[in-house]
Amino acid sequence: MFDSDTPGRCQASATSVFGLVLISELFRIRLEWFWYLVQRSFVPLASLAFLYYLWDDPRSAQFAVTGSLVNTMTTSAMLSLGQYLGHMKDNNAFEHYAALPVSRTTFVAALATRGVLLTLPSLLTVALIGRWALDIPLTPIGLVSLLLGAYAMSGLGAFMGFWSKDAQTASLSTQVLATVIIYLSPVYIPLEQLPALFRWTSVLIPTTYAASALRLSTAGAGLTALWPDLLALLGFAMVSLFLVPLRLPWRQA
Amino acid sequence: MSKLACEIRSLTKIYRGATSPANREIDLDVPAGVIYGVLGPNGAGKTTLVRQLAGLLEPTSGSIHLLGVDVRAEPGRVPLLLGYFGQRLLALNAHRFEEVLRITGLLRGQSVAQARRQAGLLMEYFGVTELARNLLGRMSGGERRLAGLLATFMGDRRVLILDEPTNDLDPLRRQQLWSYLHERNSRTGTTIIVVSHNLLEVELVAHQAVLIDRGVVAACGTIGDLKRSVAGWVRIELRLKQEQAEDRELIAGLPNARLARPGLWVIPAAPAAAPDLLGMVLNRLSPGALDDFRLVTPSLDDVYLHFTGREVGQHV
Repeated sequence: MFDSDTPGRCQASATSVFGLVLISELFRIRLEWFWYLVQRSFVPLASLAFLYYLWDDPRSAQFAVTGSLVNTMTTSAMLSLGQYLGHMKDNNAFEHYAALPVSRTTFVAALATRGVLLTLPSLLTVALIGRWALDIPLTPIGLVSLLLGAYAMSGLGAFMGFWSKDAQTASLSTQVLATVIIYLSPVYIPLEQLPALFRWTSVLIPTTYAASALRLSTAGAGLTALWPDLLALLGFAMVSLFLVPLRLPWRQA
Repeated sequence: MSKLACEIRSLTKIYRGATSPANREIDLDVPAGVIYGVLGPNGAGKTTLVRQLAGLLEPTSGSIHLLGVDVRAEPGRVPLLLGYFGQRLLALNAHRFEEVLRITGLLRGQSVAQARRQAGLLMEYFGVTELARNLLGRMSGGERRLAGLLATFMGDRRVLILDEPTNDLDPLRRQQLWSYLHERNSRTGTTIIVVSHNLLEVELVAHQAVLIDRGVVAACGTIGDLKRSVAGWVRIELRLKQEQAEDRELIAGLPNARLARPGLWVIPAAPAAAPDLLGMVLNRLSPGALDDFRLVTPSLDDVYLHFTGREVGQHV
């Protein structure tokens, strides 16, 4: 029963810690899987259906499907993770991990991966319906774009969650941000149709690159055409994974 | 190896926006291998002190060394040395009881087999094997608290900090907890720092204690030292069934007599004078007024009262 009976090393390896924190954080699916799947598919699917009836030319269908995929990514990865972290902050849940040999970077990486994994079922649902109803394919490189985009959005969600002072602020700020990065950027509508101001601000928004990469992939383009967008998404993901831990209130001031 | 588990010098903590410090110029040495009680009224700064010690709260000034490690300079090393149990319930609703223990053990470097074995032994010791597969979110506050406590014991940490560990626990679990801590300390030499309001329990298991009041160290030392600081006094306790006005006047008129709670009077007295004083009071009380009486030697309660001027449980 005592430590001398069960000696262990002082610390698990970084990959083990990552895996253990990820598994711990995925346990929530036991209680909330229904809502993760239904609620986070519902909004993008409803948008997709709405746009399907509104537009009828092939380019519009392409924007509708890729826009709905980015919308799903934003709702599931950014919005939900940001709100979840706000909830954790309210419940002082960081203290549990901070008191264990878990580094901030590992914790954030595990949470971002949790966000990506929880996004996948909803993304695949929208992608399958896009393929079946509108004949818009999801190619392997499109899938890579989705994964990178989901990481970039998770990183953004993690940043918002840690930046917010409580769950209420996290909820409000992520909703405002989601509206901006979905509807005031070239996600559902072409860049050239946006006002000049939003064309400029779109450069700073990860959804711009995720939507662009997805549109190109559905049109049959390969890595040669997609690499600038993929590189931008990778940059967003890496920056958020390195910057977010600096903001993480591991120790209270 | 340092003979001190913990060395605190001039530790001050002022929370953002606060006008007075929660901890002020605290100097404290906790020897390695002891059970150490941290006592004091609510709001005295006990939790602030141990959270800084655990590296979870940034001090305003001062230094903390834990087993020779500078906590302020290397907070990342602290979880390698200690197990911390805070007052808040674990926010792990979707975990099963045994998963909380095993995952903690794995994070502390145990193998799967070691973590499974120790988790099983701990659950068996505390008689909670039937809870192993239950989700924390569907458990009572006491059961969730116990899961957090047992997780704190997982792995090979040389120091344990337990902040109010008996809150929400029923009497049997409290007894098991104190037995476990005593056994673990004596068999493995683990240093155990316990924040508690329960002075009687602390008195039974702790070797040394510190009394914090209004953010400063009011007294510290071995339990014997602390009790000797009030050794010049014994305590007469009178429990009255029906308090007549003349009885109240009689007792209230005695030096230092105080009403501890309705019906219970406490009269401090010098040991030599106590029997006569008690005899006089018993002779002069109205017939049938007395329910019970005790003549008791000093306890940590008296130490607490002496240094803080408050009864146990009173706020600062």
